[in-house]
Amino acid sequence: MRITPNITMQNSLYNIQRSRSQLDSIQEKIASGRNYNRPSDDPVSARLLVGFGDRLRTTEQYQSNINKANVWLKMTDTALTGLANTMYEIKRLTATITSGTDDLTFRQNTVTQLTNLRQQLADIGNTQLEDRYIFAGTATDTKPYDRNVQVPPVAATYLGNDTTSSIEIDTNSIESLNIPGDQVLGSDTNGVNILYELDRLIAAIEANDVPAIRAQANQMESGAQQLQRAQVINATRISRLDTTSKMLANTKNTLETVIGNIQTADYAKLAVEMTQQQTAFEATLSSTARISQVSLLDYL
Amino acid sequence: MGISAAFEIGKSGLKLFQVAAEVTSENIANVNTPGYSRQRVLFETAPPTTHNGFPLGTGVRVQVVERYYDSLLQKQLVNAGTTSGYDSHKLGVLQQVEPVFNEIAQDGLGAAMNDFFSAWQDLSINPSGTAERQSVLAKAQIMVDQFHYVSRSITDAITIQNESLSPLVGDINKTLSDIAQLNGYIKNTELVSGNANEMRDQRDYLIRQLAENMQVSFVENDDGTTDISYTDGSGTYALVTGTQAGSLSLAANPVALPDGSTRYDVQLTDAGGAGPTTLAPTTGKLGATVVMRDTVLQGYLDDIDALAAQVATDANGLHATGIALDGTTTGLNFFDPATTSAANISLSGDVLGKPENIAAAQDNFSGDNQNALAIARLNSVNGYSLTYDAMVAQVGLDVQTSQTVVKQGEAFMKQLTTLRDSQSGVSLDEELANLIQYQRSYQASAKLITTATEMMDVVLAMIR
Repeated sequence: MRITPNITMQNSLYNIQRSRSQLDSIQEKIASGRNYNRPSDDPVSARLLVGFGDRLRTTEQYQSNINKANVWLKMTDTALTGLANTMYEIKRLTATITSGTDDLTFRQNTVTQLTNLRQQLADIGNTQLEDRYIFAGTATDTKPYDRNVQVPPVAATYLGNDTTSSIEIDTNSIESLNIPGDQVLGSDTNGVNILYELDRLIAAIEANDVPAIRAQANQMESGAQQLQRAQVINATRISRLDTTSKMLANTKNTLETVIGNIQTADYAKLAVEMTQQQTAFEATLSSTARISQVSLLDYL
Repeated sequence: MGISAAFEIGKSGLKLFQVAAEVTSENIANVNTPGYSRQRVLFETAPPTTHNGFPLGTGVRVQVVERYYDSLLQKQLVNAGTTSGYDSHKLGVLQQVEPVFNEIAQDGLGAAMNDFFSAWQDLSINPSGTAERQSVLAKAQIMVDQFHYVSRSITDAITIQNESLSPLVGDINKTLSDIAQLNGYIKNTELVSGNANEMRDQRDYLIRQLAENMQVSFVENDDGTTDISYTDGSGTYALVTGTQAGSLSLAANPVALPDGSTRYDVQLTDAGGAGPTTLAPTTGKLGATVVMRDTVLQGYLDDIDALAAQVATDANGLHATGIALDGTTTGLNFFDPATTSAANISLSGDVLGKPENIAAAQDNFSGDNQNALAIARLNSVNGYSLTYDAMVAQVGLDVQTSQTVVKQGEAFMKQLTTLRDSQSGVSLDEELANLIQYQRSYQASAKLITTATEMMDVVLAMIR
């Protein structure tokens, strides 16, 4: 084939350009620390990267959901423990008087103590987290319990509703957050209506009505069991969130590793490639410079 | 036949080697002229005469000055030029749009959508929280802004394609009339004498340039003119017939561009004056411009519009059934219900600046979060992020495919150019060698005349 100086020059330019663009692409990877800087660098990897990126964000959001829910659940746990302890006190006090007594002072004493404990139950039942009543169902702006002893006892003690609200803790994984008050201190329609039964206990003690006191003592026992069930439910939730949180941390870790494997530039490898490419580039430049200086004119 | 014959032969040599040196100097001068084909002088012996019973030559003469030229190579260059014109323009436009979808380098619409639905997750945990409600509105605004940005970027790219038609058409028209003019010159020149080599080179070069803009076929006539025709889905048209050139023009299409400006149709008045007819170009730079405007970029825009409309419709569908913080207001829209595209998606007046109107609840209790939770889950249920991610990958794939095609095209083009250069390109070394050869021959012819003069002197001396 006949070679003209133009062919040589065009070839040289073409090769210099190719060499340069390869050098440039290696340099970009090193400078950005990323293997892929735009979708067209590798559409398949880009698809994976944005997909994993989405999952990473979602996972972080679920973790944030769990952290916030944990505050609520821990608060609920503390409140339930307080209720259970108070209930234990009530049961202990009631036990001292199940046979009734003619000692008016003792009865009044007991009534005073029970009244205090009743107020304590209602106060704990009215626990708030950031202005929200945690035992009011979804009526979180309604104070669910009246702290005062009702004379005569009134059945309608619970003012919240029986709705449970749920949050998402993982993809398609829903967990209930609150325990409505009717499952804790009960209501006139659901479970043992603890405050009402307590009011009736106080009335019975004041009247020294022994059968009624015994009946109410049994009610207090059932009430304590109801609180225990609530505690178990809450503890189960805390433990589920804990497990899910660990799984999410694991997922996040895996995702970050995978993203890192695809995206993080391997400097050692790139440095070697850079050196190779640089040698090739310099060789191209050098040979171009030499060949383009040779001409028959120099010898005529 | 006498000594004077030697004079004649010497003179023909002098004349011819002078022509040869001129052709060589023309070659050297045009070493860098694009489209130039090197020329050479073909010699032939002058017709012999008979002397003293022997046939003897009368010297040398120019048979023809011809150019090194391969018409098949020209055809291949023309076709390769069309492909490369289309591909490189397409790649250029795609690379301008790619940064909009570059979700791996920086957060864009994909991240904004995720953040928006995350804000709803936060709201589901504290449905009555003012901060959470504000956050939902803020993230929604960011997402809306991102939709606008993507939409505007693509719309702008479409408009730029449309506007670039005007200079492109002007360029093509100038090329067409230049070719027709050259046709006339070549015909006239060759009627008088020889080959119009330089003008043919120019015409070949113009045809190659024309082919980069649109696919043409050409055929050379006996009188030296070249006719050029163009074919697309709408028919076959004569662009140049002899010295007549057709011309392209732009006409307004009734369907406006996405940004409301006029969409141009390319029309052709053919070399015979018929038309204008609306073309459907799909080849060369002209085709790439129209295809990018009407198909590729429009496709991206349609996808992003569909996504925006779906997000708005789905979110509104749930939001309207929910209940605001006051526990009674319902039927509110979150996004403007008139939303049909990424360009006009916006927050509805119901919630804009009124975080208390966000319907997080499905019943009249402030702690109810069912609606917030349902909206938060829309993304994982309906997969908006997946749709968008697929778009990102699609754009990446389009650019990458285009890059590969352009790279192959460049290599092919380079191969063809090398072949053409090998055949037609000027080699200075070769020309210099030729020059010396012609110089020596010229000196020899001069010597011949000197010798003949001396011989003549001898003869004349005898007479004296």
